[in-house]
Amino acid sequence: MKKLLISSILISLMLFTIPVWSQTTPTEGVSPTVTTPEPTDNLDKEVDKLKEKVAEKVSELAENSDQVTAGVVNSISDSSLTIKSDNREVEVSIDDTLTTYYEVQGASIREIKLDNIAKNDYVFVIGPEINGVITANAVYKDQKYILLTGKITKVNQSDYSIEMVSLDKTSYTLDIQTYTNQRMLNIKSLALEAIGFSKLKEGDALHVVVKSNLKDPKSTRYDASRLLIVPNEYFIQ
Amino acid sequence: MNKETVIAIVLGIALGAGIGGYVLFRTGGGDETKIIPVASDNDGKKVVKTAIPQGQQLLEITAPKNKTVVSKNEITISGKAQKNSLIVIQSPVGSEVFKNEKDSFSMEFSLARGENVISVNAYADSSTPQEVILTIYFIDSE
Repeated sequence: MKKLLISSILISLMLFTIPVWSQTTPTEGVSPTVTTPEPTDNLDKEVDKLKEKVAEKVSELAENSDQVTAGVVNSISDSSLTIKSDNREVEVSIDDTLTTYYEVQGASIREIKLDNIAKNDYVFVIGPEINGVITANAVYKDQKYILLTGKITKVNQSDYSIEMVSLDKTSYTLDIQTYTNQRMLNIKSLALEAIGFSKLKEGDALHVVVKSNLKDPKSTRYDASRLLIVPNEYFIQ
Repeated sequence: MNKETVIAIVLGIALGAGIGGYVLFRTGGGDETKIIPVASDNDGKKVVKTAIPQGQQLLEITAPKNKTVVSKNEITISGKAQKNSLIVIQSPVGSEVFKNEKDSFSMEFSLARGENVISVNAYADSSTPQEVILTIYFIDSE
């Protein structure tokens, strides 16, 4: 009986380990798929890999050549300028012969010189960013605009201003000037119609364009350049 | 081969098959390890995004890509939003309002030279819109 028990255990252990053996034992009749690589093959593969890496880098640089980085100028020197973009400091490499400078003035763009760019100017730079440094092909001095969306919370008839709360729950005061473009949605025709200050009322949805105050970025009071009102009636009809 | 040897072989095969089957079943049918990706922002801080409820169509701009540089004074803004949403597009130089009849829209929009910040809003079921801000650069060889 003892003999029977020992034999059973031995056979079961052998069967249990067979799958492990089969993984390492080459199958008879099948020619081995892995051959010892020759040194030239290795070299060719390395060259191919290198070629691929070079091609990838070239295409990456080509894609980045039109890359745009915008921000406020922090410092200027003859060979570089630093700009604050999306809460990070970015170094921009400039070159006398390669970099060109422009200023956007309303509907036109005119060429300027580096001397015309000063600290706290808003610029956007076109050029590739390599290892955190932008090589500027062109630097454009422009006006920064802010677009706000929210609801009118108060209309101040006394000083022609309105108060609004934006989608991110920030409160702003907007001064309506004579040049402010004010338009309201006609809820029946969906056309935009010119309106005056008297048509503005609490609860209306509004979309507003203001010029950024670069000297005081935390300011919450602006002159409105453009207003677009969607009356509250649109949503309750 | 005597009787005891045959019984031992049969018992051994049965036992081996049993253990093998158990191991295989446990490996294949057990609980899978789930890897939950954790996104990080530029500062390396972990960002957890709220799951979007199924069936809720959010505003999505399919074209143009943000921070695109163009050499024409017009661009086609295409996107997806809930059917019958009121779409409001505004920039410092223009405004467009329309209702999207289908669940997608496409609109020609004028650009000014230089940087164009464009807000695209979709009012679906409430007076609070979903908003996407695009920045497009129009630079031509004047």
